[in-house]
Amino acid sequence: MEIVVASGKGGTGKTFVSSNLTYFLRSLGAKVVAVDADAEAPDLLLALGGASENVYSREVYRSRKAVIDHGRCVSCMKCFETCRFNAIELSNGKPVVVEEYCEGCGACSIVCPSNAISFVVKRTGLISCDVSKYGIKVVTADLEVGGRNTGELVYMAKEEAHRIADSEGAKYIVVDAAAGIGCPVISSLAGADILIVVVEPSPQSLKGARRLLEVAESFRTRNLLILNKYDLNPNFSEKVASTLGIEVLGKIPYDYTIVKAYASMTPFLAYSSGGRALKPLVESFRTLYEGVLK
Amino acid sequence: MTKIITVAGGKGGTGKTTVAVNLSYLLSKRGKTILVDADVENPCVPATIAGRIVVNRIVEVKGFKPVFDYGKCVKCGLCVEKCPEHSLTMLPSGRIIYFETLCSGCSSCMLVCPANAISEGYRLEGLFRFGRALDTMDVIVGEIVPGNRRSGVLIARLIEENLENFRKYDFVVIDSPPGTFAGVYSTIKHAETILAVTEPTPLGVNDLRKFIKLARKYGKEDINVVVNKYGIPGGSYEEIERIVEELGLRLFKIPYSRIVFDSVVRGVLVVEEYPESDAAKSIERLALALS
Repeated sequence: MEIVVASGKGGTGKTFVSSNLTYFLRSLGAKVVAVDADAEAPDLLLALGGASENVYSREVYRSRKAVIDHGRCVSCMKCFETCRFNAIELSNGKPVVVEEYCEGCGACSIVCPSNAISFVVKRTGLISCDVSKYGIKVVTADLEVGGRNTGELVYMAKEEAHRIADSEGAKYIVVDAAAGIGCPVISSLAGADILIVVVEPSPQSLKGARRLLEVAESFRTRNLLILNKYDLNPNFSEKVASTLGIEVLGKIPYDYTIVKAYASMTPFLAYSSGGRALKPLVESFRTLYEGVLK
Repeated sequence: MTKIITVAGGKGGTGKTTVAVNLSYLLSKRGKTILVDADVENPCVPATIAGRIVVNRIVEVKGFKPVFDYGKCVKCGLCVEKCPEHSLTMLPSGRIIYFETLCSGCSSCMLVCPANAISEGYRLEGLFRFGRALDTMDVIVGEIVPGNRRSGVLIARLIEENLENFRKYDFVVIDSPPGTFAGVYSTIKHAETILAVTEPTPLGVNDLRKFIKLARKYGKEDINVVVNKYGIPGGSYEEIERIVEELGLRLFKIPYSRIVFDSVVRGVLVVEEYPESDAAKSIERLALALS
């Protein structure tokens, strides 16, 4: 069973929820594999206490970029005119490739009259599997800075997690999705059974959640809501719940202890001096486990 | 002389939009300013100023999509073969099935078709809203159509297609999305000054490192670390100080305060509503240092 934690807006507490949910399931004796699908800013392993063992790391080379052979180029500018992605710029009258914008689609090479354009494979990122300090396997997608094809990298990380789950008999896969509603989030949602939307009581977060649910519609996930930091704006929290109209799993109050737990590289649920968010968080997870997962 | 300032930082929810909005408001008193909301997946500038934007132009950003003329099609299958995203399939009848969500809009299918059976159709990728914010500055808000997978392409268009326009301003403030992908590259590509907004947590620090790696990869020198929510107990202050010192960056601090959160939720500016607060003064110092 695949559980995705997403939000639309950044910083609402996705990693907080996914790391602690993973830890919670593990502490019940359930086998669980975690996936860090926030490939642009991966933090899940850190939130789960850091790595005690790196099982493997694999470089992924799945992106393509155009290369122009200026010895052959006749400066006809057909490539410049054809590219739809701003990936060809002019420099001293010669076309040059902006690597970060290049989709590797090949349109420029189709129109080039002098066969001056070829394609090379470039690094997409890294997929790692680590065992966290708490004995949980974490698969991390880590995108090359300035890179693209994030969705593909996330998809590969999820496939890897399913492979591990199958071989180890793990029942649950928890996916910590990226902020936003773009390619990596869409890949996180594809094939997922449950979507936990983490929202904080602000109009910005509400808007992000609505856009996320719009995207999630075609994936037929079972959608559940966690209202994080709800006490910072209780009235708005009620509005969030009624506007989104999805089942509320729990309301978590703002708690400084969460920062302290992070600082000591300990999941909040394992942090000995757990604060006021502890009980509501455990109750949310118990509701999820008893009512949905089991 | 135009100064492009990009507000980014890696992690989400650290306060990029809060900084961008307050900073651009202050800069607008010193020179002609435009604020660009480049977080197209979830643009938050409008909510952060409670919708106080007068929109005077909406540009529908269109991308390519193929239109098939079966009267001309010779069923050669070249379009299917050359589609880099595998968004086309040919049925035995010769009919082409098009998966729009996979299509990047590159137009390779149209370019390779030997029978001129594919022509240019359009689909909506997103919107650029042009207007005036808070009566003091111009604004552009980019917003992608939900379900579109190519936010990076839309952000690149938002920046590159408005670059000429930017030259008319003294200050261009770009509110970047979280992360470190190609779309974030677009927002820093032309910037003189980078603000890396972070929060004093191990996650904030971890993402800050990756973001700085991105900014330095592209030769950015004027990188300023802005620590928001400064003062929360148990924060990773030493780590941030170490990064800043090691790399010779400038450090700014915005103290943690309920006033900031409440202002963001209500859509008012801290620097406008609570100019005497420590948070407002810290953003004032930032504006002064950048102008």
